[in-house]
Formats: sequence, C-alpha cells, structure tokens
Amino acid sequence: MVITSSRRGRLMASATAAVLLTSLTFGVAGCGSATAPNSAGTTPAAQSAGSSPVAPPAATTAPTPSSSSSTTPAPAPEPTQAPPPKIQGEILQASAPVTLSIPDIAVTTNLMSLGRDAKGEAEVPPGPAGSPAGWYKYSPTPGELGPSVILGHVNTTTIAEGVFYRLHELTQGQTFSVTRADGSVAVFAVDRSEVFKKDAFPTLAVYGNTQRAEIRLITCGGYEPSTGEFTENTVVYGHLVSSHVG
Amino acid sequence: MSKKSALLIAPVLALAALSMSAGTALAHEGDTSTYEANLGAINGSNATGSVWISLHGDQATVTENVSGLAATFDGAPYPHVQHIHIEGAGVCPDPSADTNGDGVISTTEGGPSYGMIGTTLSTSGDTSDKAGLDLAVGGMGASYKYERTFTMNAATIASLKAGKSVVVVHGLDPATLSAAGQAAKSDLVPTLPLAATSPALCGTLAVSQMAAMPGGAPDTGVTTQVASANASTSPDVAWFAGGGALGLAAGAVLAMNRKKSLAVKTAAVK
Repeated sequence: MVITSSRRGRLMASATAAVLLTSLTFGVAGCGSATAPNSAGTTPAAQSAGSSPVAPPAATTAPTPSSSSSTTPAPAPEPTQAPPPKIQGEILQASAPVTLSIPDIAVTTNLMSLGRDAKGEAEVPPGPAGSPAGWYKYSPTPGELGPSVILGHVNTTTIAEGVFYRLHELTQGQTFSVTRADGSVAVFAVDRSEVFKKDAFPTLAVYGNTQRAEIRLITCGGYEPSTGEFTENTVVYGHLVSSHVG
Repeated sequence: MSKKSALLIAPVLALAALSMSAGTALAHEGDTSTYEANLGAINGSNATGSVWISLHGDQATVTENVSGLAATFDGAPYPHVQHIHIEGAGVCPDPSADTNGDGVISTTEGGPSYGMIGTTLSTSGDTSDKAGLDLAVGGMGASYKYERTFTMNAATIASLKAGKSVVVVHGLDPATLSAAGQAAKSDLVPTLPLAATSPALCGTLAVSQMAAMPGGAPDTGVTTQVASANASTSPDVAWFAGGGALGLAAGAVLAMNRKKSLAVKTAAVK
C-alpha cells in the first residue's frame, strides 16, 4: 500500500524524504490549513515558520475579526462615503512596491509582480513555503489613488503557513507599510476585513474605484476538506495614512 | 498509494521555484481600457448591480452582475432590457425627473439625465439601439450575470470615453408602484404596462482605476490534496493553483508525471 508496484527504483530511493513530505503535506491541507486536526502537530516546520500559536481551523473560524471591525469605518477625518467624488487624503506618485511589512501578524515579504492569466484572472504567487506575496500590476501602486491589490497565499505546498496565513487576524486601525521602488514607505491603516464566498466575489466592491489611496490584502479561506478546494477569500481593506522616506 | 503521491511534491517544489525565478513576465494588456459602474436602484426597485467593461479597440467585453430585480412577468422570467445610454447629462435621474408626477421615472423622463440608447446589452444578436426594446434578449429574472464581447459602436465608445455613458436596466415589479403608476401604460411600448419598461437600475460608467479588472476570485490558496494513509478515495495528488507561473509548474509536473506512469490531476481552482 505504501509503496506501489509501479514505483521506479529512482523514486524508491527517496522514500525517506517522501515520508517526511507526506507528513508535511498533511499539514498543508489546502488554503485554510483546515482539515486534519493533527496536522499542525505533525509539521515541525509549521511551528517555526508560522510562529502562530493560533492555527485556526479556517473552515470554521474563517474571519472572526471581520464582523467586529466591519461595522465602524476608520476614524478618518473624511466623511464616510461622501457623495462628491472628491479625492481624499494623501496620494503618492506611482512607484512599484518592493516589500510589505505587517508587524501585527509578523509578516515581512518581498512583493513580486502579478499579471493576469489566460482566463483574465489575477495570477497568484508560487506555492512553496517562503513564497512572497505579490502586487497585481494592473492595480494602482500602493499609495496611488485607487485600490492597490496585494495577493498572498494562506498556505503553501508544504506547510500550513503561507505568507498571509494570519491575514484574517488584522483588525481596524492596525497599520502596515509598503516600501516602494522610489524609496518611499507608504503606511496603511486597516479599515476592515471581509470574507466572501468565491462564487459570490463582489468584484467592484473589492476592485472598484475609490476616492483615496487604498489597498486590498487578499488571501484564501474556507477550506473544504471534501473537495480540497477553498471556498472563500479574505479581503483586508486599508487606506493610506502617511508616507515617509525609507 | 499515499507515498506515490507524496513523491511528487519534491519535483513540484523544484519546478515551482524555477517558475518563480523566471518571474511573471506576461503579455502587456496593451491599449485596453476599463470602465466600471455600480448600479443603483431607481424607482424603488431595491435592486443592486455592478458592471465593468474592458474595451480594446472597438471590442468591448461587458461583465454585469445584478440582483434583486423583478423576478417574473406573466409567469415567466421577467425580461430586463438593458442599455448603455449616451449623449445625455451622463447621470442617473433623481426623483425630480418624474415630471408627470405618477411616482415613476419613466424611461422617457429619465432621458435628459442619461440620454438615448447607444448600445443594447442584449444577450444575443444585435447590440444597437434597434434591439433596445426586444424583450427576448434582455436579462432574465431577478438576478443574473451577463458577460458578452461584441463590437461596440463608435458613438457609444465616444460617450464612454467622455464619461457620458450610463448603464440602465429596465423593468419594475408593478406591485411596487403607485396606483397611478400601476395603471399607466409604457411610454415606449403602449401595449406594455409602465413598469415593464421603466428603469430599475442605473449607473454612470467611469474610467476604472484598474488598468485591467481581474476576473473572479483570486486563487490565493495552494490546494494540495494528498491521500491519507487510511483513505482510499484520492490516491492522486491534486496539486493545482491558478496563475501563469504556477500553471507552468503544474503543467511540467503533469508532463513529468506521464513519463513516470503516475497520475496527477491538475485543475483550475474556482
């Protein structure tokens, strides 16, 4: 059962590694790190890399912070949803993002550039552990007017903790920063966190025009063990609060 | 069986790493421009919607989601004719547009706000103003998703670029209208009730801050499904992820897999 008869000898040689990888893979269990309740414990890499004592079973607890934070808008000086389409707050010149730092969830990552695939869907970063998050290059750069889009995996091919594993923990008012190619650092504050079913992803609500420099940090949630797929996206909304020279 | 699957992980890692270092250079989006509008309820329809248009030359791809519209009409799905109106003020009418005071902003009364029909967002066939009242090619029912690519006429494109194009979805539930409104006939098709042709949703198209609107929900989860030791259901690795770089890696794994007589499934994550 363990080693099939069709196994090539060359592959047999890596059986030991395979055992290790198998246990690691159980730990992945997909986007939500949901499935096997014992997965985290069997994954030594998870504890060191993730540094997350929470390890939430995403399928069930997906987006706890959202409900509490989504009700009240950020205490920004501007009125909420003011009818006149007037630009609000600081707006930076375009400059590609280089790194993202979210101290509250221990994230520091380079940002790769992401385009669109043949189907017109946003590309995502690679799957292995340690992969960076990425900036969707057809969105505004962070600090420009509009919704800058940053995508990161919740999990990896090997360990449960992807770069945005703890994204759902972010709550209103927490800040994070993006260092840009021009050397400037754009500081954003979290407005809210929302979770959407993938089959009801509100495209314009997430990617639609804004009247200030905003940002969307997006990952997955809602792992469905029966299919191995992810049924939800977690979206953290933020807006630019300040900038400085790095 | 499970180990067979697990053995594939190492090559996956290697290939994914390769594809990562190769970067994500993709074809540029060229001179495509994107327009978008949130659709707001008018005439008390309580409906909502959104629409975005990707325009490349004269090729327009229109994507629209609506919900909360009138659901049925004479026992059949309610036909909602929908258009891009042009060459008006480029705005949606407010209640003051109800000049005859019947409580309903008719299509005619809304005209000064949003203008005439430039393009019919028909589900098939003609997209000109001539198809504007063809109920058979309207959106159907309370909620629907509309997506169609067609050649957009020059007048609509010009209005789009000038910020004067307005998406209007027509068709109200008669029961929601005033008594006068319920009794009135359509200003456009006298054989129909006023409700049938009056606007229910409206939104002015604006240039999107997105150079290209991403389609669908991002695949920001790596689906790695490996058979557990005590499960006989899924012996194969279902390793997949959306996106070019990862797709490349998955494809390579698939090819390699054939060579080794193993079964790997790749699939698109929705």
